[in-house]
Amino acid sequence: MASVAVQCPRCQFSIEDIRLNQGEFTRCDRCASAFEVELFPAFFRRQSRSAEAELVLIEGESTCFYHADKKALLHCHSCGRFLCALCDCELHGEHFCPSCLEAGVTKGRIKSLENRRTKHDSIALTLAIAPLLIFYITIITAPAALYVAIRHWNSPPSVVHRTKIRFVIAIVLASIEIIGWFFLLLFLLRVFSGRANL
Amino acid sequence: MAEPIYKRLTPARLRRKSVLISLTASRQSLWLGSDHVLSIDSASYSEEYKRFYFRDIQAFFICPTARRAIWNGILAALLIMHVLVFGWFGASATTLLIVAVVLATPLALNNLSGPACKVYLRTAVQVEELPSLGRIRRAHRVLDLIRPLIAAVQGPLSREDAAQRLKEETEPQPTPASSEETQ
Repeated sequence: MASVAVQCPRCQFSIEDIRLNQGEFTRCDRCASAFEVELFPAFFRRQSRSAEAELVLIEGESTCFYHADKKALLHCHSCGRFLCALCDCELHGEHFCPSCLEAGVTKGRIKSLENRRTKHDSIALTLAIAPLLIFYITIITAPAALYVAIRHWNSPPSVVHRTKIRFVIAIVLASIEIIGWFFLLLFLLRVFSGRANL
Repeated sequence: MAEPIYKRLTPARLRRKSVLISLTASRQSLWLGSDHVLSIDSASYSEEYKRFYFRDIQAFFICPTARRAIWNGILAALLIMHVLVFGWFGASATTLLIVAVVLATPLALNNLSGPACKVYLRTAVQVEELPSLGRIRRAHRVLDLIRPLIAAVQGPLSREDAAQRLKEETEPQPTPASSEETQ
């Protein structure tokens, strides 16, 4: 049985005389750095052994989709394939096969596994606001901001900030910039055509 | 599946990934979900998430650092230097006061926030730093908030129980040979 010990977070030295859950600092015997420890019952939980799949003993018995010689125990909640204990990936009480789990991560279908999101609303807003300092760039960035805002209107936003206010501001500003360019070009066209008539 | 609702635990704290390059700075913040703590590393146009489920959290380590003292030194030196330079060039009392207020405000905030620290969260497979918990007072406040939530999932653990269980775990287990010898 492997014993558990509290280790110094700096030097990983195992500390024996430690003040637990008291709001007091303990000093590491090796590196002398002070730290406070708050332990929870999971600290003492034993790590369960990895699953071992059962071999098929009776002919005609259902087998795992991925391992033809392993007995099927359950099915994937997403694709329905039969799975052995090795291929069973449990998540919040549901069972998935490895490929569905991977697809869930890459395509963002399983929200609790999603670990990265792009802030399209910030991109659109930057494209609409930042180039205003050098206004002639807006002839490119304003349509780009409009495109990003419309294209990603339904893309998942940040998991914590869910308003579409940045998209709205980006669309309004980009539209004003595009209308401004339209009238400027119209004005220039009239000026040049007037000169040509003279 | 509906997305979980999060409650903010800490404001975003700027953190440079490199000592010299400030362009790679990211902001770290901590959020409370229904069954987990969410750490967000927010760069300019993307966010990276780390979820620490209440059932998996084994321990929190709060390590005091000298960051407050270092910033105190830097800000006090800047304040004194500017007041001396402005005074040397005969700046008016109002200008001196404005400069003093501008530089004394971060100095005061640095001290009002309390002592600095680094907080580490331990699970069965990782020890992760939580950079948004940069002050001991804030770390205690957040810990007070999530302690009952973790206890609701894992069960309570008093300090006596923790000490007793740790003692039992770290004591060497008697081998069959040694137990025979004692008999």
